[in-house]
Amino acid sequence: MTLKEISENIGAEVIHEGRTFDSLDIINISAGDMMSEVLVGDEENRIIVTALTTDQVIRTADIVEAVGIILINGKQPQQSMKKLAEESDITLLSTGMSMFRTCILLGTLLGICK
Amino acid sequence: MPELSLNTTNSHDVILDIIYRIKIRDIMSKNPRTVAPDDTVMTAKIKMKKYGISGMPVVKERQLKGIISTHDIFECYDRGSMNDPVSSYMTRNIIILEEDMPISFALNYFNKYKYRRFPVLNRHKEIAGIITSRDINVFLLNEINSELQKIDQKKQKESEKISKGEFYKQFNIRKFDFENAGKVSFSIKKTLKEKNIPQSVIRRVSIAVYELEINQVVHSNGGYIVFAMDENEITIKAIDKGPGIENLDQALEEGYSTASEWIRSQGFGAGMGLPNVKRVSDNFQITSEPEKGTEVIINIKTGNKDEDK
Repeated sequence: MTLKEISENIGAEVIHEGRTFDSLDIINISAGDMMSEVLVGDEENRIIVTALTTDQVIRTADIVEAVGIILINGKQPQQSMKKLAEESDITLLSTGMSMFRTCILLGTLLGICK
Repeated sequence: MPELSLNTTNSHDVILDIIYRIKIRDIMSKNPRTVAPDDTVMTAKIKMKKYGISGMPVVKERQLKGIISTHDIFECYDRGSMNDPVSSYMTRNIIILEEDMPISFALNYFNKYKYRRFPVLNRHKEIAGIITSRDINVFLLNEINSELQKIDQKKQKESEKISKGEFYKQFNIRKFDFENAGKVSFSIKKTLKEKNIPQSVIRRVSIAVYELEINQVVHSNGGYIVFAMDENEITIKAIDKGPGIENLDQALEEGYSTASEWIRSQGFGAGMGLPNVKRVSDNFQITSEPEKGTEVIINIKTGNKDEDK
């Protein structure tokens, strides 16, 4: 499932569209507000779900080559975060749902939870 | 109050250069708000309130007659009427600066006299501007900032030596500088991409450097990171200026953290930093001395490894 389909399915606001928005098949999810935890995994085609809105989220995503970030609880990115997402070609979405609901929905959509 | 001692021979050349090179004209506020000697104190008060200033030159036909400050207005409250002319309360015995003087003069004057502002005259003894200690502070900080940037850039260039396939680069890290945390990792990642290093190696190096960088920002009093590379391996050294780690075994345990709530709110302090660095390294060494500092040295082989860590 692409980030475009994900955003439509979870009703997320698209803040920035990365190059692979409509093409790359997302398989993995890292959810959490601790960037060091995100750095532990090295799965491919990954997105990050977080409530954190700082530049460090984008830098972390860039390092682990995550292609997208979903901000939860209706969080809006800080201006510099948005700019960095554009520069780093990372899709940035925002959803009004909680972390728990977002994860359940994503799990169902990606066929991780059955 | 301690004396300002910028313009002594003990000062750094950079500072001396600035305070002698820059003229008062360059930093004063030009065309300051003024009042005439015949204006009422009320007029002066209203103007000062409107423009948010605490003193104004009193000027007649471009010639400076005095200075009126909030202090003088208090005097008028005590002794007379707000309809009295400014000339009755203004300070006449004023110290002036000239616009061609270097700012070292202004610094001296602020040291010597209690005034918070000095009027500045041009060559024809006409009022040209006004200078406050704030003007000097802002200007000096900006100027010092740009000088330091120049020095940093020069250092950076000197430390970028490339010889016989070897590469070496040093980066300075400042305490609590979250804004720039991650830039070292970003820069190294770019270098490695240009050198066609395998993707999995780049990722491991990026993770290690990023965690080391964050560690220095969060926990140390500042330090530096050295990145070196030869044909076979990459070496990263992270050396900081203290305060050192009390219990190294604990620091290497997953989940152990001494980070504050504020740092956690920035997404760090999960207690995964050093364990993460260790996990992605082929060789990991750490030494730490309380008060002195911590030194982490790691190696990551550049060759393509079949089993990825």
